[in-house]
Amino acid sequence: MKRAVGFTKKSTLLMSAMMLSTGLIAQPFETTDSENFNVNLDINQLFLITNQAPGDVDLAFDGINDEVAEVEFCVYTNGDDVTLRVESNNGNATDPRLYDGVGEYVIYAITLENATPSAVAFDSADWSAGAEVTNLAGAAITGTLNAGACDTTTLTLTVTVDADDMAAAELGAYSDVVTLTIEAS
Amino acid sequence: MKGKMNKLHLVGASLGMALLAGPYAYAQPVNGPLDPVSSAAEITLSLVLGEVVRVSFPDGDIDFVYTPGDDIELTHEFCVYSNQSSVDLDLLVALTNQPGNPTDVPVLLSGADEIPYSLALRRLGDVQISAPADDIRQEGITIASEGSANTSSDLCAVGGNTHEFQVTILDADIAVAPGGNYTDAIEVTVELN
Repeated sequence: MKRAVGFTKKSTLLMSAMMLSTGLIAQPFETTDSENFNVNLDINQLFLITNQAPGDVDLAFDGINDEVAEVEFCVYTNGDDVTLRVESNNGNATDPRLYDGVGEYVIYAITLENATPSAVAFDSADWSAGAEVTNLAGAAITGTLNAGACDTTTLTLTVTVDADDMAAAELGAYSDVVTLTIEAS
Repeated sequence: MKGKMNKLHLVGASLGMALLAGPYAYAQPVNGPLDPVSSAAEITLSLVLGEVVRVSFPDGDIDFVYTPGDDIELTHEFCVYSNQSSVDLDLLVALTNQPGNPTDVPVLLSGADEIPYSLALRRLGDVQISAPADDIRQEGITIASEGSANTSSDLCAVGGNTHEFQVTILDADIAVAPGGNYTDAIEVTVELN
């Protein structure tokens, strides 16, 4: 036991002398040592919007009432605020519109409502083509996705087609594509 | 007026509608990607509009003004609209006051007191479709396969009126009636064939 300890000391002194002769500054070997290196992972802000339910929507006119349909979305970000852009493929500068493909349009209204806190985030009364809703913080889930699934409704889009507008339109099949895009504010 | 029956004082209207069966039919959700720049989701909205028809009385009710010695004769226009390029509809006229036999002439009532009147239905432009002028009785009438309607605009002021009632009350009948407020209600229903 004593001999082994003596050999170790001797060897340590020899190595230290060699380093000094080449001009290097080095600490003597010790019985413990540590070294540091950095691991960096930058996670940028991520965005996800999913259509929770019901997917695409078929509207109909019962001859009397306005037609109203709701579509639920999950908006997720791991950051803070998001900006949401609402676009109507057949809309113009003043209204989102349904189109029959041969020249007739039916205007409709869009509202967006945050789930928490419950508040109207957007009303197409303020529509301009490619309408934007900024700072949609209340509608975004922040935190960790559940295995990558955005499964909580945070934003409800309501489509309303006025009965008078439908009554005034020629019979036919009308459609539109609404796109919701979220990005950094 | 959006479709429900609108019974007016003396002159009323109702609405016949071709209703569209149309429960929502939903597709699968459309998910956007998890993305460091932006994420987008799309929905497609589809609206199918079937045939509709509407009858409106732009001038509202009729308030008669009686001048002793004169018969009351007036016309009251109304508007039948359809979103079709051509129409085939039944036009039904029903009277509220039916104190007598179904084939009796119509009457204005004030309690138990009566004043008879005559009622004719025409297309605008003097084409009478309830001949003769006193042919509408307390049981009402049905004009089948009427082809006249405004198909250009659901607004009567824009598309124009299409039909009219001709109402006549004889001075002789008014002069002998007890004082009172005499009324009847006329209901018009339009049904697409």
